[in-house]
Order: sequence, then structure tokens, then C-alpha cells
Amino acid sequence: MASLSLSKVRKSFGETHIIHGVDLEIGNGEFVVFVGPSGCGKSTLLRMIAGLESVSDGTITIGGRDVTTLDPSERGVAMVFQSYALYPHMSVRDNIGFGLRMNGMPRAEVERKVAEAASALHLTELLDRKPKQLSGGQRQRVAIGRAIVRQPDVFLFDEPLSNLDAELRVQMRLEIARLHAELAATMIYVTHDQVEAMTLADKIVVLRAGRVEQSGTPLSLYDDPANLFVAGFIGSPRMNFMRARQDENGVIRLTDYGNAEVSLSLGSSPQLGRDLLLGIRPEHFGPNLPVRLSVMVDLVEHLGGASYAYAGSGSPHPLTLEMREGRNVARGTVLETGFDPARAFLFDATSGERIR
Amino acid sequence: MSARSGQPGKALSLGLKHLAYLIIAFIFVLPLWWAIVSSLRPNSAIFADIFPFTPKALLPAPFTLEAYTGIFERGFGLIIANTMLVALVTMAAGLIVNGAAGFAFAMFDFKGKKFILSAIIISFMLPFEAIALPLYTVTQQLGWLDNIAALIVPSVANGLAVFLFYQFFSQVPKDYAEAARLDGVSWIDILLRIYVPLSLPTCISAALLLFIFQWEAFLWPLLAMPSQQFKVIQVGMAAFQQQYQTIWNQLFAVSVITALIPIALLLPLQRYYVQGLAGAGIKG
Repeated sequence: MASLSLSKVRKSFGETHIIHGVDLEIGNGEFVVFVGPSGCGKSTLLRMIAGLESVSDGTITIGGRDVTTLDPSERGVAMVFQSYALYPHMSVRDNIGFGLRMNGMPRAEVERKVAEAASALHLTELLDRKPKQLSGGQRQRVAIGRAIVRQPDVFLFDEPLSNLDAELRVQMRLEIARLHAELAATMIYVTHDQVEAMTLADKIVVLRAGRVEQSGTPLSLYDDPANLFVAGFIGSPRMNFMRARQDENGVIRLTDYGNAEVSLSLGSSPQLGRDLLLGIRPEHFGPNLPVRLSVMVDLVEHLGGASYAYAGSGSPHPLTLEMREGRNVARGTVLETGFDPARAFLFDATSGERIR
Repeated sequence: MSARSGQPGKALSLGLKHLAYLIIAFIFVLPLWWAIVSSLRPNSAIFADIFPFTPKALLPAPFTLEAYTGIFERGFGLIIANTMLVALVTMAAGLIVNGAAGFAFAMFDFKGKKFILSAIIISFMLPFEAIALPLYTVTQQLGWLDNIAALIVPSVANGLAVFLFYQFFSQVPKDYAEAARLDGVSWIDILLRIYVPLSLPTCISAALLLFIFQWEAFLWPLLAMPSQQFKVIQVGMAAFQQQYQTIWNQLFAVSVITALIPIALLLPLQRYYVQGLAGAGIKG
């Protein structure tokens, strides 16, 4: 267990810059999730922490020790790969114990540690099998077992659930959460799935194009996104954005919805004439709320607990509305709905910055 | 009606097909068969049933093993042992050198890698005759002429074997090596305990390649061993033809043994050999 800090960490391949100066503090025992669209550099950043990619500039410290140029094995990290990377010619037992044996640990002690890890992960009956004879979830557990036996300071997970089917993903997600609670170890987890990020993380780090867009607790990101990207990325279904403009009197109006007036209490007024976007989450629509909208419903999805009505599909700014009551809305009908301006976020459409 | 009238025609065409197979198989096997048959006849009766040809020419009659006893009395056993020694040492050393080189090319990025790799690929496309003379000069200056090292050392590093290993190792997912590195496993253990077990077919292919290369070597042993104290099989075989007269049945016996030893080696490992060579192409 250890804290970890990244300071002005950069990665470039020649003229191509992958990571642009990332600063990050990760506390002891924290579960941190790096999330972002593919190509945002989240896996590269993880591999830099592991020591599998060199650091072009900046420093990485683990437990107060500068590990920037250390060999992967000297950093006290263990990694679970997306492919699991189980050695196909070795049994589960040998896969879990391989690293320990290669580092000269006595056979009996290796046996004991492997048995311990196996029982914690319900792998005891599978110890003599080869990876080929295991299901996806079992392979995943073996890969985690291999990380656990080394008792690392920091666990690294590189999209560990992306090869599993939906049901197993949920199950393994819970197992990883349970593991974190039991080991109380520092864990860094990379995913492109924001649901995994929301459910597992103590802290989410949203990355885009090699930059940290925002980091914080899942709810702080959800309730208080710093910019358009984070607002759109965190939350499922994603936040709705409606085009808005400020008129001469300083009033924000929704241009696509009959110039409906939205009275926001802003600390700073946006520059005159800028294109604005007003963000509102699907669950914050409802009848009898201050700002009234009427929308033409294109499609309705009933999920049981909630229903989603879709409007304006095909337009640049479609709407998704969550309905928990009054759900007998049909396609093609006009839905009278509204929202509370206190729930809305205002963004500059060009820069993506939040206007508070 | 039509189905019934179709039957004899079908049977006939099947019969014809198999007849064609038999003839083709016969043509292929004939030389080897004739060599075996001739090695089992007395020297005086070698050409007895050929002019004029009778089917008896394809049977070992009159039957005798004198050719085989004869060649071993003339020291053929030592020649086989010599060749085995050269081929097996080359094979063992070659697996280590070429495997390690292939691993380095697959795993590491270093300056001039592309250039060196191209040079290696070109090296196995060059005919041996093109390098025989420079190689002879180097060997002479090292004072290795008539020394067994002259036969083994130049054959250890084999471009085709390096390429085979490189091809295979670069297809193995990098995650294995990375996972092992995080576990603090040394590069040599990564090679020996992960990559080699995964590449067994490739290792066997490379081993057979190196073995057969030495087994079939003729020109180089002839040049490098001028005093002919240490003879290998191809050179020794040629000597059977020249010494005083051509003892045909002994020459055939030598040929049969020369051909059978690699076949005996290849047959049980054939599955791996084909897998290794074929896999190198498809997966790439």
C-alpha cells in the first residue's frame, strides 16, 4: 500500500505528444479510475506508472520513492492486463506462483501464498487446469490472483473487464470492489466504460487527448462537471445539450424551444453573442417545472423502472427524457415537459468551458 | 434408372483415378526402392535383370547383406558418427544462438535493427558457393583447416533459423513478456520459460533445419578438411565411388543409410515441422 503522485508527466513519441503534463495525487488505499474515450492516453499513462513505457518528462513517485526510471519489477506494482496474459503452457498454480518462484522464494512458501490467493478468489479447485480450460471470468480471477500474491503497493488494472460478457462484467465488477475493500490497497483502474468508473471509483480521472479534464469523486463529477466534455462523458444516458443565447437584457434563452427563458444565477455573465449550450440530465425533466418545453417524441424505450423518451433525433442536439410517471407517451405525440433552472449547467459552445 | 446406369461409370472413374495415383506413387518411390533393392544384391548382380528388363529387377534377389557389412568394415560407422557429432553440436549451438538472436530482434528496439535484420534475410538467400571462398580464407587464417571447428562454427548462425524465430516470437503477444517483467523475471528466464515452451514447433523446425543443413553439406567439408582425416557423410559417400572402382551395391547401401537417418528423424517430428513452417507464414 502506498500513495502515488504524478508530477508534470509527459510522453512523446518523436513529435507526437501522447500525454501533456499530467499532475495527479493518489492517496493511500484509494481506488482511482482513469476514464476517457479510446486514444485519450489512459492506458499509456497506466503503462508509464507500471514502467512498461518510458517517461519523456516529469516524475512518478510511489510511496514517496521516485520510480520514474526504475525497472517495472522494482516499483512495487502489479498489473492485470486486458488480455489477462496468462502463460498458456502453465497451470493456474504455476501462473500465480511464477513470479514468486523466479524471484527465488522457497517452494513451500510459494505454495502457501498461491493457496491463500486461490482460496480468496475461489480458484482452489482449478489450480491444476490450464488457462485454455477456464472461462473468461475464471481467467480474470487467475490474473488478479497473480497480482495479489506479489503483495504490491499499487494494483494496476488495464481494462480488465472488456473481454467479458455483460452479466459477468457486473459480477466481476463487484468482486473487484470487494477485493479493494478487503485488501485496502491502492488501485488504479483504466476503463472506457463510465458505468464501471462511477461504480468502482473513489476518484475518477477523466482524460481526453492526453490531458486531465477533471478529477474528483464520482458524484462531484456527475453533479458538478467542469466542462462540456466531462458533462457529456459522465452519466448514462448522457446529458442533454440545448442551444442557448443571451439576449440584450442578459437573459439566457433556448433558441430551439421558442426562446424559452431560463433564469440562471451566474457568478459571471457570459460574453455577449457567444454560442451557449445548456446542459440538463435526462432525469431532471418533469412536468410542472419552471422552464416549460414541448417536445415531439420520436421514440420511447421502457426499461421497467424508468422510460426514456427521445426527441429531435437526427438534429445536432437531440433530447433524452427520463420518465418515471405518466409513461404512456406514444411515438409522434407532443410531450409537455420542463426543468428546473437550478439543475441546469451552462457551457460555452466553442471553448466547452462551464459558465458558473 | 439413371442412378443405376451411373454406378459402373462411377466405379470405373474411381478405378482409373486410383490407377493414376498408383502410377504416380510408383514413379516417386521407384528410385528409392531401386536403391534399397540394389543395396541388398551382390555387386555382380546389380544390373542383371535390367538389360533386358524383367520384373525381377524390382526384387532383392539374389539377397545378400554383404554391401552393408562391407561399408562398415571400410569405416562407414565412423563417418556416420562424425557427421552426427557435427550435426548435433551445430543443432544445439544453433538453437541457442539463433533463438537468442530471434528473441532480441522481436523484443528490443535498437539502432540499425532493420538494417541488420535485412542483412540476415539476405544472408540466407545467398548461395553458399558465393561465400565459400572468403569463408575458406577466414578459416585458414584462424588456423582451423582440418579442425572440426571449421565445420561447426560457420554453420551455427543460420539466417533462416534466426528469421524463423524472429517471425514466431514477434507474433507472441507482448503481454506475456510485460507481465513477466512486472514480476521481476529476467529476460533469459522470459525466453527460456515462456517463449521457448510456446515456440516448441518453431524450435523443432529450426533444429531439423540445422541438422539437415549439416547432414547434406558437401562442398564446405570438402574444402575445410583437405587432409580428409575427418570425413563427413556426403564426402565419404563420394569417396566410395572413386577409390579403386565403383562398388555399386556398397554405394547404394551408403545412399540408403544417408537418406534414411534424416527420414527417421523427420517422420516423428513431421507434424511440428510443418506446423512451424506453415504457421510462420499464415499468422504473419
